[in-house]
Amino acid sequence: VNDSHVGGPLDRGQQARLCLVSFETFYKTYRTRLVRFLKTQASNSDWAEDVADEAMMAVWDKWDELLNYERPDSWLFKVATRKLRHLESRAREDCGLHEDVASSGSDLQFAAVTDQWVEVHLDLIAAMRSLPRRQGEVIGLHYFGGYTIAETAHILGIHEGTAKKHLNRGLENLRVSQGLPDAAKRTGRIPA
Amino acid sequence: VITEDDLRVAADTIDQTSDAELRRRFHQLKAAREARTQLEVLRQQAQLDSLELDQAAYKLAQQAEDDDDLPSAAHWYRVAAINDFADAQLKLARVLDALAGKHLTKPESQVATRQEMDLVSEAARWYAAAYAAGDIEAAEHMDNLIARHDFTRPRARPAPAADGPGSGPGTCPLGGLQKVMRLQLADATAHCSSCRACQDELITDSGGVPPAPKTPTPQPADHNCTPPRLLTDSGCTPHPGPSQPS
Repeated sequence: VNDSHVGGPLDRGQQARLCLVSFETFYKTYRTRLVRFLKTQASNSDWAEDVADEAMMAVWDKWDELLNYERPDSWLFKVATRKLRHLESRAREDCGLHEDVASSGSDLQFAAVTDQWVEVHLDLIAAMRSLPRRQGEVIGLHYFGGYTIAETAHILGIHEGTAKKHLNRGLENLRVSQGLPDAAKRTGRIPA
Repeated sequence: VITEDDLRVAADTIDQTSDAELRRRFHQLKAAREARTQLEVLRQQAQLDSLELDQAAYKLAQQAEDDDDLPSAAHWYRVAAINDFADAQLKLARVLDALAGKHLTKPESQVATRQEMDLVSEAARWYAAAYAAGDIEAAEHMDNLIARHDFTRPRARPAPAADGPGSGPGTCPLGGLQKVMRLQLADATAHCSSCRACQDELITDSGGVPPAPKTPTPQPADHNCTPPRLLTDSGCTPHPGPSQPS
């Protein structure tokens, strides 16, 4: 596992800086990526949308300060990931979190109706959701967020070695994952 | 089979969406932002601050652990672990495990046993949470924890009082339950009804149930023979207890 698929730090930093011309540009650049990243992590797609909006709102409120950050987008992903985990922890305490494959599968069916990316990558997203949280986060941030392993570790507040360990274990688990049962793949989308 | 190539393909198209959809979403967010009350703004700010607190608590815990202040480390790791921050759950379990380990060499008492049980059960709970979050080594740590803390093991006896029997509060003036048990039954009962130290010893040694009086068993003349213990005789779990009255 290496950072070969992620562009050079200069390119990505430059791209991130170009988005800072206005919050609207920033929003349009990262919103879709953030929501879909969260959909691979959350067991509930509605939460992914809500958390993404709240995180974007936080960025907007903090916009002037974030202009001084090297990578404001990594702050966005950090806040969103932690907000989601907070929400899930509370729900888990109240026994209101449905993390089983069946619930996640039916949630994905609904999500696929409104999001073509989810429909196309249904198996992959189902497999990502079945991973232990830390493994899913590292893979999601590295591949979908486009962060290097060092940046991913920084966002999650863990050591780089720990991030690599989770990445390798997560990839191993993905290789043996079963994906969704065929019945769960019927999303109700009208074929083009 | 899902491979890295699948992840890369999905990553390549993750940004694809229509401009109209993005514009619509942006206007929704703008409207929601403008419609916020002052209270909602404060609530959102407080939520944001609490995210920062997790990290601060984690750092405090690390510092306390470095200073070998395990109770403080456990306190701060717990703050971070409750919100599922980084590997705080595993770190908390390790600290609680270490705190429970200190009880292995402590003299036996009801309070110490209770504290040890609480620490072990909480450590096990956090090991399980860490395992679920992806720290698979937590399973091995939990197995070791359970193996180490066998609550049926013989424990160290409390250290004897330095100034002899009756020297202070909480000690038996007659020298402890073993000596009291050699008295006549009526005298022993009368003494135990008023001696707190003997009551504690009785409850602790018998696992909460006072031993039933037994008819003295004829003993062989060999004085080297250790008298049998009451609980062992009755088929209960072996546990150090008072000697049978001779």
